[in-house]
Amino acid sequence: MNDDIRLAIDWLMAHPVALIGVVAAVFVVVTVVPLLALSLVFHVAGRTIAGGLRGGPWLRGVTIVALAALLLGGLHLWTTRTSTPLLIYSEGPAPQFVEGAVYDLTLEPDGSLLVTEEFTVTLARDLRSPFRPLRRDQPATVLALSDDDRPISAQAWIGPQSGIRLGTGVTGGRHRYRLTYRLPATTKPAMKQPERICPPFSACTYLTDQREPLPVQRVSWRPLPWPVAGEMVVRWHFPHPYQLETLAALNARFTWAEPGSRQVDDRTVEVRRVSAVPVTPPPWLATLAIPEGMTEAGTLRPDAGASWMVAVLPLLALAGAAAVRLRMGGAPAGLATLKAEYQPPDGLPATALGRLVRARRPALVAAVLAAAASQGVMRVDALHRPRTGLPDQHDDEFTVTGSIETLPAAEALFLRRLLHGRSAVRLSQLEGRLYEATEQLETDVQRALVAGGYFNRRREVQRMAGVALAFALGIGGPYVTFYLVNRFPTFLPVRHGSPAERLGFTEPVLAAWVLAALIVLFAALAVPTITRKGAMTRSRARGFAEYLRTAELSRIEHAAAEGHAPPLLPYALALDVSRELTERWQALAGAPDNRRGRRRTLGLGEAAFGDDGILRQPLLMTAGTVQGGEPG
Amino acid sequence: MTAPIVVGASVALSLVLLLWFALTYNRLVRLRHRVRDAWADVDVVLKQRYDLIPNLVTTVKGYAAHEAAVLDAVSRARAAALGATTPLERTQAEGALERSLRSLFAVSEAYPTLQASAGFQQLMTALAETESTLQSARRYYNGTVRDYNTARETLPTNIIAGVAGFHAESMFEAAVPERSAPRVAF
Repeated sequence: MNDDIRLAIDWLMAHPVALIGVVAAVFVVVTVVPLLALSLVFHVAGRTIAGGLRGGPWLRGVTIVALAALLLGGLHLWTTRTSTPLLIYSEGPAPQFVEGAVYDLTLEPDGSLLVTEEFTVTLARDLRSPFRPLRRDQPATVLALSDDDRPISAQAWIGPQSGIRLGTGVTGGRHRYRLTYRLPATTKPAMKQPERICPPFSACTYLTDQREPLPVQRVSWRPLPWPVAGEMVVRWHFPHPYQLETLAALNARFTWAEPGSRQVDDRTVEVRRVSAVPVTPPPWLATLAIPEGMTEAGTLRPDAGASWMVAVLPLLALAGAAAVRLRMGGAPAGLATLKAEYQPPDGLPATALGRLVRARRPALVAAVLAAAASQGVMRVDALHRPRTGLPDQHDDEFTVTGSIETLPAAEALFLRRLLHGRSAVRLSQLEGRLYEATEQLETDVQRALVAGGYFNRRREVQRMAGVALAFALGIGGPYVTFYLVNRFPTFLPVRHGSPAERLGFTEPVLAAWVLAALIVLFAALAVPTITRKGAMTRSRARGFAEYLRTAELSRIEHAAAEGHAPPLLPYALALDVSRELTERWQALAGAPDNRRGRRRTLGLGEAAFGDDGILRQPLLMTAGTVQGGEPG
Repeated sequence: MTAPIVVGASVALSLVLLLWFALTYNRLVRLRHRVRDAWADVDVVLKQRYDLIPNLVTTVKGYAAHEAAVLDAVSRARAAALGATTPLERTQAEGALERSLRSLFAVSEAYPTLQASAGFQQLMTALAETESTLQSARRYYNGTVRDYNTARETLPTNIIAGVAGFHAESMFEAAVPERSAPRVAF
């Protein structure tokens, strides 16, 4: 079978087209199909959940956050049984911990190390295979292994995770292992840095100051890397006399030695250490000023009060509620679906609707001119003439024929700024004033919308408050948690005596604080400019644009082509219902859409402003003439 | 060498065709939903107008009780319009209702006191507003039908439309009397 597969692979490598086809098929099967299946599941589940929810957006938001919290809690419970949970600091690679260990190491004359380990390990659950890791460059030969005095099979292997497997299908609970193995070539004949300090938890010894018969200067070996919550005893048996005078000398060689270590005989040294995994904060939190002693494991007591879920869920719920509340202060996205509207929403003028749907400035200017034309206070002569496309042929004229005060306030003000107290003004002579008037038009319309409650006037305050709250949650929360955990033992339940597990009980709370901070931060940053009322009106404006596009466009275009300006024309321009119509009007009275000029503008703005928004040259084309009207 | 090329090209073409089919089908579904939504709007406005007619008949009856034939014609036309379901039936029923309402308005002009009554004027204003909304809704509905029918009748979308059973939708035409030019007799 393997030969067949190899032949098939060779054939595919020789036929690139077929190889591409196979790769594409595998890609579809491996990625697209599961993704489609997942999306279907989420779609159905989402519709089911959303359809079953009652109450307003607030209640729905809280419900969704609560469901997410339950999901996170479940994931956490699950992940603690399989691997190190996300965001959680742990010294050990697995939930098991060593209660005590006795290592008996015999350094052979050939430089190999014969190790006998006796350790008691508590497994939090059934494991497929406990694992005693070793250094990658130290292949081991297992000589014997027993579990509670029953011989079991063992396997040592080399790879990214080299080590010794302590049986398979091991049930949870306490196990007392006795493991004997041999490590070849643990010694090095030369040391470049004999005075080097050994790193913590690594047992290295320097023999240069001894009169040993072997040219051994260093022995490499490491104890179990799992969390050890008990006494570790290491007995070294040397093939030569090895005398230690003081504990200080011992510590110079075994950096983790503690009082109780001793010289057994002239060839044997016993090193002891009582180890406890402290409840230490994560590295990111350790940079804060946690008071000394607050993180000691001994301050925790087992078998305290309620479940950690009781502490986590309210935090998540509060964070979600804050997020939803902030969100509700702005605009709920997607609450209103697109539905055709037959009238301008709220009777708003075209420029206001254009601003709501984020129309560009030229569109707003075109809408003002079209509004003036449709109300009969301005005549647009350019629409009667065929356009040649040449700059010097743009002799379009805008003639004010009535009182512009009949227009909405912002639009009338815009035209008054253009006239600037004169009876007749050519747009080509306005230069920067046209740009300023256009900018002012946008500002005025925006201000009117803010006054009308369509835009959020407290957005910045809400954002700053949200960011401050997020920082308070993310930094102050963990600090308070550690304070409470170490000062009030009943804050969290600790049913097992393992320090690692005690630390684990604090981790969900820390994760909750971080999660809450992130939720609030993102919610604060996402506080929208537009209000709920504005969002609804925007949605209706889009519905009105849909109506114009579907039902009125042909009539508007027909009238515009004949030089008329029907009443719906300003709305069609502001809402960008027809690209052709919009471009024609914007070409008549184009204006820079922003000061930096990053987007390509039409007509006047393109000619007048450079990329940096600075006026570089006078307007090149004669865009039109405004005559008469009300002086500003 | 050619067989893998043929197989690969066939698979790629099949995927492209499948994607095109899905996109076209979804577009037709969206267009059909637009038509149905637009018709629902028309239906709502028509019902608003039907709700106004009994009040109008009652008001006119209070001033011109002996115009029973005209009032009965309006009531019958309203009942027929209420029973219509499809746009085609609605078009025909609306024609009859329009004719009967015109008769009613013509009759009401002969009663100055009726014309001057506040209730009658309010009803006429409400009817005029409803009529204006109805015109917009009708235009929008016809626009959606136009887009939908255009899509389902043009190549290559009509292949999908035929296979998937997308049937043509009918316009909601204006009442027949509105189309005919008014005849003026001297």
